[in-house]
Amino acid sequence: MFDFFRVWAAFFRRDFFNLASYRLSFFMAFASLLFYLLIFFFVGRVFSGLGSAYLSRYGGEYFPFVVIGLAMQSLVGAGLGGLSQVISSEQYLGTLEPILGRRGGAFRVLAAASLSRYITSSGRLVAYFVLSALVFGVSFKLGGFPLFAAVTALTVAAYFGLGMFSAAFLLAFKQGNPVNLFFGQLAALLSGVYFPVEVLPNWLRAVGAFIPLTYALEVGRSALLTGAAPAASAKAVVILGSFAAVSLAVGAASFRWALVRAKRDGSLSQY
Amino acid sequence: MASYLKLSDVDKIYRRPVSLFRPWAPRAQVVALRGVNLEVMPGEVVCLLGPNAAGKTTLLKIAAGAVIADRGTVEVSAASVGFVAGGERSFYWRLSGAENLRFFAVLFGIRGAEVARRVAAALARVGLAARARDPVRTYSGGMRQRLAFARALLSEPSLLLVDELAGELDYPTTLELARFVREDLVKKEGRGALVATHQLWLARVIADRVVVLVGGRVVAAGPPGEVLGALSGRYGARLPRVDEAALRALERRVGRVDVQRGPEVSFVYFDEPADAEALAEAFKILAEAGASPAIRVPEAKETTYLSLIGGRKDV
Repeated sequence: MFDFFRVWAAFFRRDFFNLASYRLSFFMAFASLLFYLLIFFFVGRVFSGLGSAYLSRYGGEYFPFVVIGLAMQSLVGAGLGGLSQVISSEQYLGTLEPILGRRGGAFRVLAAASLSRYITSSGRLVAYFVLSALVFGVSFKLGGFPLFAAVTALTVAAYFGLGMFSAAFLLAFKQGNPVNLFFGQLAALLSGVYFPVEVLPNWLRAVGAFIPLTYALEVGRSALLTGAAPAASAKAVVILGSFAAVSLAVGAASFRWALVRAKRDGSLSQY
Repeated sequence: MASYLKLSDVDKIYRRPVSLFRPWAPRAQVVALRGVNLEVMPGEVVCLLGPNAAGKTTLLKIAAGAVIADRGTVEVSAASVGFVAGGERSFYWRLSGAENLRFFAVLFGIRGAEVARRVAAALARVGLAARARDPVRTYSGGMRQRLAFARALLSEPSLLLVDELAGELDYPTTLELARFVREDLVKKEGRGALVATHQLWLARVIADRVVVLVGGRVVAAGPPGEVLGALSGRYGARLPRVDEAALRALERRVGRVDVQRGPEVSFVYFDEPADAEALAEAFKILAEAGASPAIRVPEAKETTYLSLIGGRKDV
C-alpha cells in the first residue's frame, strides 16, 4: 500500500510540474467551473418560483438540484475515464511502455496514476459546493452529508470498476468505447444529472435503472437538499454496493485480459 | 558463466485485426520472429543487425517484457534490465531532464534519498548534469538519446537493451554513444548489452558478436569479422551530391580520392591515412558535405551482409 502511494506521489509531482509549466491552465479551469455554474444559476432563475412538481421533493429549486448533479457527474467521470485517460495520454506521449516497462505491477502503476484524477475531481466537487453556498447562497443540509458521503464512496467504487472495464476496451480496441458511451454520455441523459428522471418516458427510466449514478443522485439530493433519507436509501445502497462488487470484479478481470492481449499483439503503445 | 539473457526457439506472429468489410476473411499474419535463439553473456555486446522490419524491436521488447512471445522461452537472469527505447518520444517534454528521471526512478522502485543520488549519477554518466534543470523540449536529439540511457541506468542494470542506438543522430554523436556503451558500460563495468541497429558500420564498431536477423529468422551469428567479412584499409561514404570543393579539401588530407558518380547518389573512397588527425579532418569534411558516415569497406566487393539479407537496399 505504501508503495502504491509512493508511485501516486511521483505521478502527482509530475502532473504538478507539468501543470505549473502551463501557468494559466489552473486559473482557466477554475474560471470555467464558475462560468458553468453561472449558466445554470440563471437557467434556474427562469424556473424559480414556478413550483415544478418534479422538483418539489428536492426542495423546489433547480439550481441546487443541478449543482449536485454536476458535482457527482464530475466525480464519476474521473472514475469512468481516469484509467483510460492515463493510458491514452501516455500512449500519445509515447511514455506508456517506459512506464510499464518493468515486468508486472502495471495495474498498480496505472491505478496510482488515475488517483490524481479522483483527487482533482473531488476538489472540483468541493468547489461546486463551496461556490454554490458562498457565491450563489445555496443552503445544503449538513446532516445529510454522512449519507451523501457513503453513497458517493459506493458510487466511486462502482465507477472505478467500470473505469477498469473501459480501460480494457481502450487497450484491446483502441477507439470506440461503448462503456464510456453508456455510463458516461448516456448517463447524463438517463440518470438525472440535469433534470429529474421523472420527466423521462417510462422505458427510458427503465434503462436509467441500470446506471449507478441514477441511485447516487436520488439519495444524494434528498440527503443534501431536504436532510431526509428517502425510503429508497437502503435499497439504493444495496444496489450500489452490488454494482460496485460486480463492476470491480469484472473490471479487474477484463483489464488483466486486455493488458495481456495488448502485450501479445505488441500494441501496448499504439492508439 | 551464466548468460544474462537467453532466448530459446522464440516465435512471434502478429495477427492483423478482423477486417470491417470482410469479417469472414482469415486474419492476415505477419511473422515477426521464427525460432530465434540468442544469448547475451556478462561483459558482451551482442548486436542485432537487420534491415527494417526484420524483427529487431520485437525481439528487444520480448526481452524487456513489453511483448509476450507466442512460443519458446525467455530467460532473464540479469538482476535488473535497462531498456533504451528507440525514437524521439518517451519523455515528458515540459519537465526537466532531472524531473523526468526522478519520476521514472520512483516507478522503478528506487526509494528515498537514493532517488536523488541515482538521478544525479545517471545524468553525470551521460554528460547531462549541466542541463539537468532544463526542460526536455530544449534538448537536442542527441541529448534526448543520452537521457534515455540515463533512464535505463537508473536501476543500475546488469543487462542493457538498446533499440536503434543511432536513431537520427549524426555520426560523431553515434560513435561517442557506441564507445560509451561498449567501453564504459559493458567492458569496464561488466554489463551485458543487446543493441539493435540497421547500420553495418555501427555493428562493426560496437559488437563482440553480431546476430543478423532477416524476416524474423537468425540467418547468421558470430564475431563481426566472420559474419560481415574482413575490412580493408579503405574508407567509403555515400554523397547526396558531389561537392568539388569538399573533394579537393579531402584530397589535401588523405591523398588520392576515388569518386563513383551516380545519377542520384555518388560514392567516395580513400585509403586510411597514417595520421589519425588527418582521418578525423576527413570525417569532418565529409560530414559538412552531407555524406553518410565514412566506414571501412569490406575486402570483398559484395559484402557478406548484403548477401545475407538478399541484397536489400534499405540498410
